[in-house]
Formats: sequence, C-alpha cells, structure tokens
Amino acid sequence: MSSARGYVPRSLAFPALVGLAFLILPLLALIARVEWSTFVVDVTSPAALEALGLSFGTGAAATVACILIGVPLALLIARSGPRLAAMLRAAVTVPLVLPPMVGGIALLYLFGRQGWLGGWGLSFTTPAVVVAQTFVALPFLVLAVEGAVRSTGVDFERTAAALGAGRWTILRRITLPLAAPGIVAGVVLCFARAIGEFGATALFAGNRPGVTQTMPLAIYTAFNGAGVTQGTAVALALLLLATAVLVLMLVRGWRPGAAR
Amino acid sequence: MSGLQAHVVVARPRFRVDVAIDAGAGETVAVMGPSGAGKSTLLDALAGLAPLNGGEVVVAGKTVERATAPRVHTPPMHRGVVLLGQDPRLFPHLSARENVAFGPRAGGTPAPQARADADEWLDRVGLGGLGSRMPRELSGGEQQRVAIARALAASPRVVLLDEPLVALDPVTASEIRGMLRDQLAGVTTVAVTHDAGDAIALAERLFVLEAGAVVQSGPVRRVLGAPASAFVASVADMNRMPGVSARGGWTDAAGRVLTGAEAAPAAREGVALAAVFRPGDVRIVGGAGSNAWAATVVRVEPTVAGMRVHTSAGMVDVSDATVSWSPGESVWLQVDPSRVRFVPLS
Repeated sequence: MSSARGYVPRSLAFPALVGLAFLILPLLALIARVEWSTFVVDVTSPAALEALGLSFGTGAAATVACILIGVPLALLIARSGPRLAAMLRAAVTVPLVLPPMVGGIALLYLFGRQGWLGGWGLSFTTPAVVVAQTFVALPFLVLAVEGAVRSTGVDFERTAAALGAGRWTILRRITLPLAAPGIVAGVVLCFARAIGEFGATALFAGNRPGVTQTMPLAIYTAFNGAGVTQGTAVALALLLLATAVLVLMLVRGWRPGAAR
Repeated sequence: MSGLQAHVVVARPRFRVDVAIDAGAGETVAVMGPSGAGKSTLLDALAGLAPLNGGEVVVAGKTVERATAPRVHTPPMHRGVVLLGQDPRLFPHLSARENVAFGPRAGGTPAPQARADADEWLDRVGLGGLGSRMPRELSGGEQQRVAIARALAASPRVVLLDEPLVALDPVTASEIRGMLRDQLAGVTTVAVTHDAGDAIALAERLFVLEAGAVVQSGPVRRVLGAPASAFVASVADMNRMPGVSARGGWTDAAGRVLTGAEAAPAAREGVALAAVFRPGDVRIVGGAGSNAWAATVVRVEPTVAGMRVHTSAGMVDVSDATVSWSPGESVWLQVDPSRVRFVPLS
C-alpha cells in the first residue's frame, strides 16, 4: 500500500488537464491585465479598503450565522428518518439551485417595506448584506456537515451514552469532533460563497458604498464605470482573489484531530 | 435484590423474543444460541436501545425498564449498562487515555483525576505507558483491551459482552480472556458467545436461547454436559441422539439400543430421552455388538488430532490417520456404556 495510485485509466489525464487549465487560465488572464503602475493606488484607495472590510466583515458574520443555525439543521436532517431527511434536504437544496437574483427578490418580498417582515426595516442596510449572504451560503454548510454527521453514524454516540455521557457532552466531545472535517469543509465553502455573493445582495441590500457595497459589487461598479482602462476593477478583483485564497488556506490548515 | 433481573419481551413481525434471565451481584452469566435466536435483541433491550413490548429490566434493585403501567424507560446514559462488542468502537479522535477517561469525566470526575485513573486502568489491562497512543496506532487486541478498560472505568452496574474476542487471533484472544476473567470478578456480567470455551472460562451459569426463548439454563458445565437440544450438543461438541427409555436403557425409531452408566435412566418405559456421548468415545468396529449400531459415512474432516468422521448417526473422532473412510461407506459404531448419558427431552 505504498502507492495510492490505484488503477484509474491513464488516458483520463487528458480531460483532467483540460479541467485544470480551464480553471487556472482565466485567472492568469486576469492577472495579466493588472496595471501594476496604478495597482497600489487602486487597492489602497479608501473606497477599495472600505469594500474589502465590508466584504470580510459581512462574510464572517454570515459564516458565524450559518454555523449557529446550519450545524443544528444538519444534525436534525442527519438524525431524521430517510423520508423526512430527503424532504428536508430538498428544502435546503432549493436556495442552492435558485439563481441568487431570485433569492434577492424573495428576500425583498419577505423583509422589504411591503413584505411580511417589512417592519424590521432590514432592506438596503448592512445587516441585509449578511442576511443575503447567509441565505445563499447556508445550504453549502448544511449539506457538508449533514453528510459528515450521517456517515459517522450513531454507534459512537450510543457507546458514549452507555458510558454515562449526557446529550450535550456527547455533542461536544463525540459528534462534533467526529464531524470536524465536514464542518471545516462546510465553513470553507460557506465563507467562499458569502464573500463572492453578488445577485441577492444587489437586489436585497443595494449598492451603497460603505454600507452595502461589498467587493463583488464594487468590482461590478468599477468595471461598468471605468470606460477603457478597467484598472480599478481588475485590481480589486485580484485583491479579493488573493485575500480569499489566504483565508481559505488558513482555515484548511486548521484541521482538528485530522481524523483519518 | 441486586445484580440483574430481566424479563425481555420483544414482538416483531414473524419474530418474538420472550426471555427471562438473571445474574447475581458480581456474577457472570453466559448466553448462547444460534443466529437469530434473539441474543442481540436481548442485549439491546438490556442496554436500553430497543423498546420492550413486555416484561421489565431491574438493575441493582432499580427498575430501569418496564413495559406495563407504570411504564419506566431509563435512557442508556442513566442505567449504567455498558456493552463490549466485537468492534471495540474506540472514539477515533481521542487517545487511549482519553477514551478510558471518557466515562468518569462524563460522570463529573475532574479531568486530571480521570486521566490519572485512566493510566491505572490501562496498566491493569496490560497497556501501561500506551495512554498517549491514538486508537489507529493500536493493534486489534490492544484496542479491545482499551475498550475493556474504558467500560470498567465507567463503574458500570452491568457489563454486556457481545463476542468481544471473536475478531482476535487465538493467542491474543486467550490472553484477553484471562485478563477479562480477572477484571470482571465482582462485576455483574452478561456474556453472549458462540464459543463454549468462552462460556466455561468466563461464566458461572449459562442460558441457552433458541427461537426467542430460553431452552436450557444452569451451571455452564452441567448444561454443556447434558445438552437438551441439538444446538447445545453441537456447541458442547457432543453426539446427541433422540429416543425413548426402554428395558433399562434407551432405544430410538431406527431400532438402535444403548445402555448407559446409570442402571435405569427413567422411572418407566417410553420417556423421551436423548443419548449423549462424545465423538472421541465412539469407535468404528468390525460388526454388530452390544451398544453398536450401523451408520453411513457422510463426510470426513481432517482435524488437528486425526480426523472426524461424520455419519448418518453420530460423529466419530479417529486418531489413527492411516485408515480412511469415504462418504457412502457403511460402518458399525460402538460406544462404551460408561460413556453414555441420557438426558430428558423437553
């Protein structure tokens, strides 16, 4: 078992390389368009830093919100009977397949001035950004954690119960640590999706600089208004790309226990 | 009343378990039975994992489960019943020490104290100094030792064993059996096993389950020495031929006649009896005689000591490997009367 190569057909390497190139070449093309002469000025402009700070602030808040409500939802689905679990999983998947724009409109009808919960005055505020990001990112976290919890099964929980552990102790010391790889993967996906969120935010929270204009919206605005150079948009895009990759690497590096 | 008293009734479609077993405080009882007899259902019910349709479970004088009003269901975390199965099921993300300390810590023991106690437990099961190892760094036998330490460290009121040695090689299994016997002294234990050797080594009494009911129970050697069913006979590695008492001996439908050590196996003629004797006490002889009968060889199996000849009427252990028999051959079998026992058929 010194080699983990197995017996995958060698000729599959060709489409595999095509896939890799397909993912990397556009990013290289983007980097090639960076105007390094104005890059520093572009990415350190107050507007850019404001958008970056807002993106990471709201993205982090949305990720925390997703963990607080998503992990319990994942546990509920994982421990339901097969039929109920299938229904719940379908319900969770709907926002995933929905165009984010439609999600934004739906959120507007719930929280907007005329909506059921319009009294909360949520739309077009910074919290609205967090709500929009949570809405689109939650399914990623729920599905990842649910899969991990379900595949672990209940045998370890039963063993822990027989040894006298209460439900909260079992959750804290057995269920969550065993699901840690799934939780980490879910958090990574969730954060990445929240940071990149555009459609729902644009419709539900708007595009107000400093209040709801996150990086994707700032990039869009810069790209549309830039005329010939588009230098600012490209610089911002590169900044978002670099910081997102950095955050993901940090989260990936932190793997509690590294169970198997 | 202490120890364990249980009457477990579980009714499922086409399957019904109705079993009463008991174990005195600190006693180990063994449960044997063919697959599907209800052993796992019994253990699940005792552990609180399967609901009862009838009966009750009393652990250390406290009713932890009762199916009839007033209903009682104590969840597994509060009944003090720990199961040790074939799979040690160590928590993979915790070290051996933390696995053993898990039960005491859940019970409120401060972590440093629980860890120190865990190291002592690991010492006792022969794993001193291995507390920092993760389960994946331990061999199967070592994992099972940790599981035993973990179960006992939780100071259970009852320990359930479900074939904990079956996945281990014979040398390891034998070592752990001895360790288990020492550590279980004074702990009320129900041990499910397929192995008569395990039952004899670990338990004082034996319950035999078949088709969801107890068919025989009593001291282990007495049950195995007087098998009341074909299953017990095969577990005890005995020949068992059903028949009736006749003329101070025994006879069966095929006309075979046997006499035994006892002068009169039954008070009157026609009482259903099984003749019981060891395959090693049967000889293959040249022709008819007293306590001899004709049979046909069904199959021949090489054994460590020679071979075992399975015939249409009983098994024979032959140590002389130079003679061979082939299936279909007719032979005469004979057994010494002093080696034959008669067991009442229920």
